[in-house]
Amino acid sequence: MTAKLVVSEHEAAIPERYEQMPCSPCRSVHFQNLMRAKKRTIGPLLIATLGFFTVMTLLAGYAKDFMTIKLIGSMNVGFSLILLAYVICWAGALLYVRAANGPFDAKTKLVIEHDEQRKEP
Amino acid sequence: MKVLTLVIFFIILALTLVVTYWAAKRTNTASEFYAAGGNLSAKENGFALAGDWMSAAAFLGFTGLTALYGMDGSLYAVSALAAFLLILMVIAEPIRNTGRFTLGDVIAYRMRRPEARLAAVIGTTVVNLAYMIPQMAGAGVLMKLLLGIPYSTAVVFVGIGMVVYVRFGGMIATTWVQIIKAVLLLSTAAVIVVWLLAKVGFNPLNLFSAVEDRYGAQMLAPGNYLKHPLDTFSLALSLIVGTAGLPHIMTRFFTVPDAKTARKSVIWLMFLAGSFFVVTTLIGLASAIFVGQDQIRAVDKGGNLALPLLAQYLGGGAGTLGGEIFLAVVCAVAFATILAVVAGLTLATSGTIAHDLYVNVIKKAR
Repeated sequence: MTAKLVVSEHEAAIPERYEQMPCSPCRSVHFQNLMRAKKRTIGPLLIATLGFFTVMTLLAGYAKDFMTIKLIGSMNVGFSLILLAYVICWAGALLYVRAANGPFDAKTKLVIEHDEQRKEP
Repeated sequence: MKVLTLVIFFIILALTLVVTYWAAKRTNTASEFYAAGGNLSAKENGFALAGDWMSAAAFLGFTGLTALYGMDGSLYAVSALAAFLLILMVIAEPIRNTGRFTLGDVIAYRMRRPEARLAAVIGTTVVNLAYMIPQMAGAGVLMKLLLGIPYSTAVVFVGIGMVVYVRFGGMIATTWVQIIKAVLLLSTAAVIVVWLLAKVGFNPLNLFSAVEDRYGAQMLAPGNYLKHPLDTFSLALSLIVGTAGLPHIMTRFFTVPDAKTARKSVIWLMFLAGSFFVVTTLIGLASAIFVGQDQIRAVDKGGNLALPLLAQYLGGGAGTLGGEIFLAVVCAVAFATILAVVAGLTLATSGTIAHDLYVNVIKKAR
């Protein structure tokens, strides 16, 4: 391990950058656009998916009779909800990735481009 | 039997050492040591993440819990997958963008004070020790059971193995040991599931009715293991929030080149580990039916050997050649799992001590 173990370059550069322009990209319209878009997508997705888990685990604790209602053969409501929970996890993850690969990445690109334009002159 | 198990153990051990030797030749810089040079693909990192997350607790623990307590084991398994929703949407990409080698980097980037980094060092070390000790203990029990090596010798042996992997191979070795183990584990699980489904006419519903016939409807109800009504919720909450604080999982995001790859690797993880978690329920129920809860409890009170026992049964039963081969393979995979996860933990801990504590706090990065 002969490498020089120093702080990362960007980390070393932070104090200077921060003093010159306090949080320069954060104030840009493009950055705020990105944050708003992220919140609008991630918020509902997390509430829906993790909300389902909250309801399911509380039902497991407080509604044992409901969880043991049989649906097909010996397969009951509880195990069906668990199976649905897997599907919800996968669907939530794919929906997020679709939003992230499209709108989020496009908006991030704008933030970076405009920040670099500011620095050039 | 002992000879066969020994041979399979040593094949796996030799494979991981070859990987370490190969990785050591490619490890020249700090970035290669801590973060595999930051240029793994989404698929590679996804398999390694899945390997990290399918630890012995999942492989042996989820199946054992389902075998002995029914639904609570399945609830436990699915919560472990939900953890990655939060990581995917909120944590993975910023961590990849602000950190370099350790979680301390991320915290120091935002707070820029040595005290903040010190707090990250303490957090990482405490969490990793708490995670590592049960894994090491598990490896010791497994080796004692299979090879008859005394428990303390086994633990020391595993510990030396970890230090060798991490010291010489760093993150590249840890990643590839993790990938190999993930592939081994998933293939083993696939074979077992197909085999056990063949026994019930390829209809998973038959497993549920067989469990009900033998143990009563109570076995398919929640609350057999987690007694207090809030226990299940509390367990899910701590899994979902707590996983984001596991340093050996979070440092995996430093091994990819950009945020997009970080996000794709979580998707790989969610489908690989998720499919595995689904089938832990089937494996657990099948071991309750074919092996029997009394037999599982007789070997290990916590049920942690339900899966190896099921494999032995599917191979033809105790004393038959097929049964012993299956048992040895499953135990060797479990052993590889523990080796790989402990290697990841060792690397994350050595990163926080060497990079955060020594270089950045004590030496002030000079």
